[in-house]
Amino acid sequence: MLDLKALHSVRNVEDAVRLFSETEGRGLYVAGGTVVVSVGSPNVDFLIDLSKAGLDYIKRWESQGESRSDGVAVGATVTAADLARSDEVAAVDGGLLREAVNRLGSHTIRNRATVGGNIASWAYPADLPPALLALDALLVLRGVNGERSVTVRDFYSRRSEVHSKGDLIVEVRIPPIAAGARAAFEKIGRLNQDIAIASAAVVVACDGHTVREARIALGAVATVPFRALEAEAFLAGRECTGESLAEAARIAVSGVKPRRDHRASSEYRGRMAGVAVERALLRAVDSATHSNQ
Amino acid sequence: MTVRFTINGKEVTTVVDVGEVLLDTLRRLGYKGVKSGCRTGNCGSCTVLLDGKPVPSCTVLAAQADGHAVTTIEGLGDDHKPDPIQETFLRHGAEQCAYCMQGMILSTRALLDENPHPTDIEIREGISGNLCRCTAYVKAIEAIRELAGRGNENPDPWKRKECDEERYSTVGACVEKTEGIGLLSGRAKYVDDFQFDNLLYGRVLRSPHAHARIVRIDASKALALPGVHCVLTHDDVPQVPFTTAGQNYPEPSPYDKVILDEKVRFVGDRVAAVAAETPLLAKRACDLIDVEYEILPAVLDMEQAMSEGAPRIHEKEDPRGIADTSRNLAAHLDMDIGDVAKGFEEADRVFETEYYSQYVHCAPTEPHVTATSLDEKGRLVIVTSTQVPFHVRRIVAHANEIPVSQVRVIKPRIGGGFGVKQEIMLEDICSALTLRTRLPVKIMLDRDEELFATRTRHPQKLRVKTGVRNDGSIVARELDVLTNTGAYGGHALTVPSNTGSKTLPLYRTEHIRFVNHSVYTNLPVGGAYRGYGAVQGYFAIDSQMDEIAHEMGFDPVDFRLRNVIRQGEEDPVARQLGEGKEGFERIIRTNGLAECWEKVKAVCDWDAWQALLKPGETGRLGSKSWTRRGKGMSFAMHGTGIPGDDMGAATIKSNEDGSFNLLIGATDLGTGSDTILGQMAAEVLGVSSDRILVYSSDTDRTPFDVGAYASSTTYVSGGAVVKAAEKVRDRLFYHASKLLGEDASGLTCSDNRIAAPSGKSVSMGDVAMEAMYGEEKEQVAYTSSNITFACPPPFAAACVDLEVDVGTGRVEVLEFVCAVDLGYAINPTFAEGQIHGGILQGLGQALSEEMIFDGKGRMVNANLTDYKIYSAVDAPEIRAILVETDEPTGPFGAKSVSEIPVDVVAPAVANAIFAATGLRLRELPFTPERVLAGLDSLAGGRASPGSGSGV
Ligand SMILES: Cc1cc2nc3c(=O)[nH]c(=O)nc-3n(C[C@@H](O)[C@@H](O)[C@H](O)COP(=O)(O)OP(=O)(O)OC[C@H]3O[C@@H](n4cnc5c(N)ncnc54)[C@H](O)[C@@H]3O)c2cc1C
Ligand code: FES
Ligand code: FES
Repeated sequence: MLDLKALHSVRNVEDAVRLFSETEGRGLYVAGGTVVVSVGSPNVDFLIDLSKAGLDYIKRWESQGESRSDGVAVGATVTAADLARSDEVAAVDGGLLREAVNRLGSHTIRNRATVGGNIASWAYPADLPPALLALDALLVLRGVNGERSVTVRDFYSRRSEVHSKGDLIVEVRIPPIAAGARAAFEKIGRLNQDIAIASAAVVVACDGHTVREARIALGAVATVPFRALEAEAFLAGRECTGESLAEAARIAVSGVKPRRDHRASSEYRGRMAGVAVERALLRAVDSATHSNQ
Repeated sequence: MTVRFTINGKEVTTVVDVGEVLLDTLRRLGYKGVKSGCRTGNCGSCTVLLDGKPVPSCTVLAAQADGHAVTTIEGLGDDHKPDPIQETFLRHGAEQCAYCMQGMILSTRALLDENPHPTDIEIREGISGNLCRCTAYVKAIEAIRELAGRGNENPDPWKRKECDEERYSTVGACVEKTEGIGLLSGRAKYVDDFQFDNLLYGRVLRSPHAHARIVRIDASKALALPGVHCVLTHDDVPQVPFTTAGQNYPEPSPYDKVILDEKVRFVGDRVAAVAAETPLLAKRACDLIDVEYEILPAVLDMEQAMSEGAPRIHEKEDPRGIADTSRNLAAHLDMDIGDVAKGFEEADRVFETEYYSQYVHCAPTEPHVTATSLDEKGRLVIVTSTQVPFHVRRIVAHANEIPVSQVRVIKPRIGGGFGVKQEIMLEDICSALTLRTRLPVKIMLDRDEELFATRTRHPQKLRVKTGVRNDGSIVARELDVLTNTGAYGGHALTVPSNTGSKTLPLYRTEHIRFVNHSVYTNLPVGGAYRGYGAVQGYFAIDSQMDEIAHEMGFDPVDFRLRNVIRQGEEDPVARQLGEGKEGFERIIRTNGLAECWEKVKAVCDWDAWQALLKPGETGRLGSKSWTRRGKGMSFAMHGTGIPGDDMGAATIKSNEDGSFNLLIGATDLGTGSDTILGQMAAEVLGVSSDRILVYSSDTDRTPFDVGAYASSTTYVSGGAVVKAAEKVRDRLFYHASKLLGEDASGLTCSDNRIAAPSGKSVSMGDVAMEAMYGEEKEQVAYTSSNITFACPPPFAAACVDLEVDVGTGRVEVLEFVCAVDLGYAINPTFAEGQIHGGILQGLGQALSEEMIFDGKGRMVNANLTDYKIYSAVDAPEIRAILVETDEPTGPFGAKSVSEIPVDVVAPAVANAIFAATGLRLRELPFTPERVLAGLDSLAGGRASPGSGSGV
């Protein structure tokens, strides 16, 4: 039972954004409610329910990248379970999001947790953002001044510049990974079913045993998920050996000051980030190099 | 606002509050099979299908369900036509308390609808949102496999489904729960399901400070809120000291508590209580109570509690039963057998090590919940989720200064207990609210309150010193324990007493010394939790046994077996350490430990595994390059009831159709004791178990029983059932003899008939009819009580197979095998269920569960996201083996089974981690971070393992 003054169920994003602007800072969007309803929100009087706003679609999206091949657009209220069920998504992302979803919460939570909520929520270190970062995904945001698209990377690293209060996540656009590239997601928790202590998502493309491109994203380690650009640069053009991957993992976490809380000390979390990166790389590279042969 | 949706295919239009969650709407509309366990999306008790998909209804706003289709457990089948899932679950004994099962069954329905032939992994995933605290998902998974058309591919060969037919017809059979399908269809009534007119919702305002005095408390703003009926503070309730420990009178726990005090002693302690017309109003009212505290220095460390200058937590002069208030000493124990000093001199080697066991919680799926009301005569009726209804009646009457005759306590179905419901947590204050308002009041704890404000396993620091001869015999052992009882001293004497009395007799030792200090701190309060002190004790003792074996080059199994107490021997400790007083002689009449180990060893391939290991090799490579695999074992013995203390009674009366009412005070927590006691009555009376109508745990209608604790029900209450049944049977023989024209002394009963040696027989119904309506006309009914001094210990052996991830420190249990010598299994399915559940709780204690506090004594992980209980995707394979030794003092040869499985887990896991990695851990729980730190220090100067591959 939430202590609320009103709950608005909206049929479209325009209404949602407008109603939000009228709540004078005492409003919040709600989608699946796994965070808003279960954790509660003490300073909120109004909820704007997005579950009927028509954002539960998964459709083709023509990406503007050099390949101009088809990507996929995922509406913000698509549930984690439906995201994982989608073969359209898996065809584009190498199964990365499916892997991430399968480690997100429990079966019942996945049936409620939405993609938009997972990106927007700050209550828990979320599992989808590192995967979306590694996929170079884009977000379509809508505010009172209309719609725009930002990269997931900017959404997290330059949040104050690209995001304003009341912005609604409309959809996530996922460009396809390169042909032959392989993806992997690793999450480290205290038990299988747990909030991440650290997580890593990687997308690796190889030419033979040489890395053509590697994208490495880390979740749960810092206050926001981030891309390990130096580690990516280190790997590019390098032969994939146990040593080079371990070194990349080391670089990925160097200079990071990991968060500490009751789930993990800063030191342990930092180390686990390294482990997650290394294991994700090992797995991705293993399947990438096998597929080349 | 108005919402329209379908529930179980029916169109429903209803008005809901804006912030209302679907869980509450459904319950309000009468769909009470939807249970509330956490309200945070973790436990899954509230699962419903939303458009066919299982979701936690506590995270769905009612308004969001508008236009959708909801299916609750009530929509799945009923008594007449249950869903195949319900039938299969019941047949497999998948449920214990069943509080989680409504949700799990719905998840199963959705899983099978989407994927009719799931693999084991898919099954586990499918029910991963349904936490079960009683079972280890083993039987539910078996049932789902069968539903998926796979049958049981891997049946355990030792399983006995039927009873020993030469001797018995009902006891020993896997009879289904007497509550039947009702338990799995949402119709069994738990406390929260009772309906009251003009019900008020109670709530307790809790202290934000670890230690403070209430200087001023002003409830006027709260009382001014419309709908708030009452606020109680310490000025409004009797200041009668009592203990919340639901133990026999006189309780061996200090009277250090009143209903509401002017002092608070831990974060979560009661400050005031409110009764209001809605839960939300009650919450708002609590927020409006203005309290001024004088904050006092707090003791947050048990080592400091007794030190000079430590703040005093209990100050009242001479409270009953506190050992020494000036030193924060709640209880003290000191016991000597022989002369340990001499023993250590005689020993060839002396080992001294220290162990620590953490704060853990029983975490039953149903939190504490109590509803109080006044009946038409003005008597107080308490419907409550308790293990000890009769102790509740006595203690509540005492604390509220009303006569026992004015109190009736009813325990309906309850959602698990495990010890924490042996405590009076709500009944006293809920009663006070009803006595004041004259209205019904219900209090159901929030999950966070349940975790930080009820009762925990007592944390202990245990120092064990053991002297061993080169021949492997144990000369002397000293166990010195420091116990943290938290802010109050419930069980502060008896839990640590069991730390010694349950463990020290297992291995024969010439000289024994046992010391315990139980200290008060300003932290959550210790209480009863399955295993009751023995869990901590065995962690220390059976870990050290392994350490000694390793150091001295003994085989760890031979070393233990050589020293294990034998059949016919006397337990030397029992005589000295009773329940807070002198004990009784205890002779070991049955000991199946060697057989337990033989069976465990066979199932877990112990010998083959040991043969693989090269001398000095610790562990082997696991399934990945960064894992190490190892196996560890442990032994334990436990108790069965409290000698000379536990009493249970049973009444049996016959009905004219040959059925019988069995009225018992015993308390079924989901363990199946109602069914088991019914089986015993059926056996003696020679009728099928469906002829026994069991009614239990109602202080007005059933005879006394101490309640469900100390693994006593089957043995103690069962003994009472047997006695009463024998008397009823003999009286029916008398009536039958008239009908048969035969001598009563030669009659026997079976298959619902009474027969004479001549072959003549008559149906039980005819005999009962004769008794009631024949010439003599009597109600055949007897009450018997039973008390025991023997308390024969069950024995257990265990082996765990696990892998340690040396990159993350995570321990993954692959398989846990445990055999228990339980005397005789009255109901093998239920007995196995006790073992499964006990092992999983033990694994939580060993690996994942820990209440964590900040520097101010606040629990920082008071939710099921961070208080880590095993879900179906985390639980390993658990195999339970029943070993039967036919205990001569027990009903049908039974001893007990419910607590001992927890005892074996932590030491087995510690020993296996050592076997896998060479790392010896002595501090629970073995969280990944602790294991990794241990591996680091083990590596010492050596280069630490590579972060990922660890090779
Ligand atoms: C028991 C449990 C376990 C969990 N385990 C995990 C886990 O392992 N991994 C993990 O990543 N997460 C986990 N979570 C959190 C998780 O469920 C979410 O992050 C989920 O994806 C949030 O989605 P939602 O639709 O439920 O969000 P809601 O609760 O509806 O909203 C969450 C936040 O996002 C905002 N929001 C929602 N949609 C939008 C939108 N379209 N635009 C802008 N803002 C929006 C809301 O205003 C709110 O602040 C767990 C939660 C629970 C209760
Ligand atoms: S009550 Fe909803 S998940 Fe626990
Ligand atoms: S049977 Fe699952 S919680 Fe009791």
